[in-house]
Amino acid sequence: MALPGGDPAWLAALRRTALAAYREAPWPSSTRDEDWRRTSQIDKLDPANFAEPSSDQGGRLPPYLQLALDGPLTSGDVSAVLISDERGNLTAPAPASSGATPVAAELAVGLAAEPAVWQSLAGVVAPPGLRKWISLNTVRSRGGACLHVGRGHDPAGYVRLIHGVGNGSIGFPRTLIKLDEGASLTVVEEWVSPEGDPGLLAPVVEVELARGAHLTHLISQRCGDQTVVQSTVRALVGQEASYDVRWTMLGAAWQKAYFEVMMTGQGSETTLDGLCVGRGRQHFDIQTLQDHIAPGARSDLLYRVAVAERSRSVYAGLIRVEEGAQKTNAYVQNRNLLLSPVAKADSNPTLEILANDVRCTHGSTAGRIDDNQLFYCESRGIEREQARRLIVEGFFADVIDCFPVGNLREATRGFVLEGLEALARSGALASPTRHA
Amino acid sequence: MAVAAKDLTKDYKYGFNDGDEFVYRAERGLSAEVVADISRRKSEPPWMLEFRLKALEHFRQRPMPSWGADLSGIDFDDIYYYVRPAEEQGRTWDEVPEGIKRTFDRLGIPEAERKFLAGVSAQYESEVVYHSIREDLEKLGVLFCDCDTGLREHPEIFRKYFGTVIPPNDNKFAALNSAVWSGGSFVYVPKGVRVEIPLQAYFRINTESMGQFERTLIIAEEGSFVHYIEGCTAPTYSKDSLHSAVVEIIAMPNSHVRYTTIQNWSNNVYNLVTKRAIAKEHSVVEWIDGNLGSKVTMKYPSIYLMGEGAHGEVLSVAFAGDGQHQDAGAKVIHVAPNTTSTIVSKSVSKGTGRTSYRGHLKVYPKAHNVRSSVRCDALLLDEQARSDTYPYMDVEAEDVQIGHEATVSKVGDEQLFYLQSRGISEVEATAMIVNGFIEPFVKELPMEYALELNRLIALQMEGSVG
Repeated sequence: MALPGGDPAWLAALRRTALAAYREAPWPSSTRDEDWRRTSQIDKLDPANFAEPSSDQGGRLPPYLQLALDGPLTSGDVSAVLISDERGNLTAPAPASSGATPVAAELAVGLAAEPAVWQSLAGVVAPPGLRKWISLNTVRSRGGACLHVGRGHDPAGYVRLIHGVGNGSIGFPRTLIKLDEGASLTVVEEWVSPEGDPGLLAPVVEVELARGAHLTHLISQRCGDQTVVQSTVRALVGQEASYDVRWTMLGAAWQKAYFEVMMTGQGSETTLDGLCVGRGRQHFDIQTLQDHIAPGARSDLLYRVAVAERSRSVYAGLIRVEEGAQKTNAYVQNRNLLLSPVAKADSNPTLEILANDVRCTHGSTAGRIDDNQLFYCESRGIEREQARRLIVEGFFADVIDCFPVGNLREATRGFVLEGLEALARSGALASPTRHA
Repeated sequence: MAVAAKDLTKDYKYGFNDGDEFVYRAERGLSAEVVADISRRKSEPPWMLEFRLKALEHFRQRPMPSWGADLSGIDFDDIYYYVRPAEEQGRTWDEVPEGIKRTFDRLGIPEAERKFLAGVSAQYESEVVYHSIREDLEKLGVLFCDCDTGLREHPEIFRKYFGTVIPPNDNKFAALNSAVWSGGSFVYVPKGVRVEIPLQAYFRINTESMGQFERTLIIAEEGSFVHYIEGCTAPTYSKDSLHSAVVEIIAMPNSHVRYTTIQNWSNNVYNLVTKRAIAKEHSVVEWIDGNLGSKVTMKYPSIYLMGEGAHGEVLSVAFAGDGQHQDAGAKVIHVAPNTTSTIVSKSVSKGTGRTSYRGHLKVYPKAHNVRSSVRCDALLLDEQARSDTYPYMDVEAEDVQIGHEATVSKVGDEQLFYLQSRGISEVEATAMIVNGFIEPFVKELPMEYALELNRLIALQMEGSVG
């Protein structure tokens, strides 16, 4: 597998290393590997189960990608759009240029234009061998994006990345983001696939923020109901830099996602806010790491989950404070709302603290809709189903309200409301909560 | 079963009645012979020998746990699995390490008790106290003896419950204990009896109670109440490097069992303990668990809430000094509806000490209307200290209220400054803050234990224990 037009030598070498690492690592096991203990359908990830991508990159966008492109996240503020599927980058409409410095480039174009920049980032932030699926992405990625903002730049608007997979194939988008000192950027990523398509989307995102840089990163996963998602987002956050990640997980048959932030610079800040709505037999397994390497950094994580019908959520979040990372302030909160008697939520927020002058806290809750709240609504003439829906909306509201950038916030709210609408249609919100 | 026992008998070369001979022969390491030897010395019934041998098989087949604390320092072949009474008697007060003697002095424990705690005395004086307590209990029909006596004198009750809460194949160390267990307490409280004074293993005296593999079995019949207190509030002098106990509690409907233990092992001991309780309808089980000392402790008292309306509580405190790893925690499994539980864990790490809270909270699908709250607080006193929190929560029911909270922090500079500005030294001030931090735990202890725990913490703060 190579980039269109061939791999540069360093990338070919990286791919070889990754292939060796992929072959060497044993296939994960849900009994042996803590990572996979609560997600047992690992065998469905076998690459042999998926169709080889076609080599034809021409023609019109597949309808599901066109739909995403024209969706609520489109707006006049978009400075660039990059689209990829299993075949690699696809022709996107010409981005409205935001200035002289090209910020966003297709993977192959970006790697060719600034080899020195990307060689020190690709496979470094997310090294092959860390996990089998990072290795495989490194071996096989053909499309994605290179986003580089030069020192002190703050390009107007935001960059849109749409990564999809179709035809029962595997998509390996690779996104590389580098912000030089004092630079800022907002990136909106969408992970999509057609309904009923049994594909696998396995994106890897590598981020490096230099001193004082600021990245806002939204991820909206709205894959089709048969697709499997296996993703990694990994970032190095430098001195006084800040990283805002907001993820919304709504689609896919099941998803295993890693969000890993290394606080390498003193005084760096990270905010991770996520939400997830599960229905049918959906399974979401989200794993987060806030690794405090440098002192004086702050990281906050807020993850809200509503599981309906037979869906299941698994969350594992580690705050690790390395030796010497004094004055760390780290927080994790995971709240789970159980909307059906057969939905499941596992929560495992963990702490590993090797420094003493720290403030590290986590909280986790699981519960159903509060009867008092329901009673309050019903006593005001709101029907039970409507009341339940309002309460679920309210449950997500404070996470969504904190989303930066107005139109992105409202678009995200729209996706969540759509999800709740679908739940209401299937009767999941009306289901009786009382037991015998 | 009979065949196995007979075969072993045939090969058994030494007369177990000959104390001297036995002492001379005793070997390090674990084998079917050693296990059979223990069983014969105790004149156990064949079923127990079979139980032990099966457990030995489980122990051999099980891999070492790959999670939790570092256990690579354990050499199973370099351990005496049965402390021979003769050797025990042979020890003298002079052999007790200086540090431990000093601790006894500073704790203000009477001479006779010190010798008992150190395992060097026959505890003549304590015998009297023990007898007076026992007579009271006997009138109520309460059985309180060591587990070996329980097996010998109350076989029907013993066999009915022994190994039912923690089967030998539960985990590697439960298997080890099941193979070589000796001593520990057997408590049986008849229906409706409330034992108003705490039963203290302190007074239950025989040399085997100091064994490294004690086994405790507590049965509280319907509507009864018992508070069992175990362990030493001073360091146990131990030659051996491995302590692996099993504690089983069965709380029948409407009963209430409270189990309090404070363990302060010397710093060369691997303390790997399995503790589990079964709580039936509307019963209450409480574990009050204090862990000081030891090199490594892995201990997760658990409660299976099997009956509707049962309630479980685990209140624990762990203190890890230099080079120590306290991997403690709690497990509560909500099987029945309308069950409730509370877990409060406090841990303190000092020097290069490491404390870990490892919990498991599970709610089964049919267990509706479950409420549970888990709170873990950790205090880090030094730069090299480490604290981990691993609270697993599996919720498979909708109608639940589950909350978990954990904090890790250091001693507040303002608190220290406040105390120091009033002329209290930094060490004393820190000890006071630590004592305040673990206060929710201490207030659940009987007065004498609370006082001793406070003194022990103060000693730990000076780094002068062990």
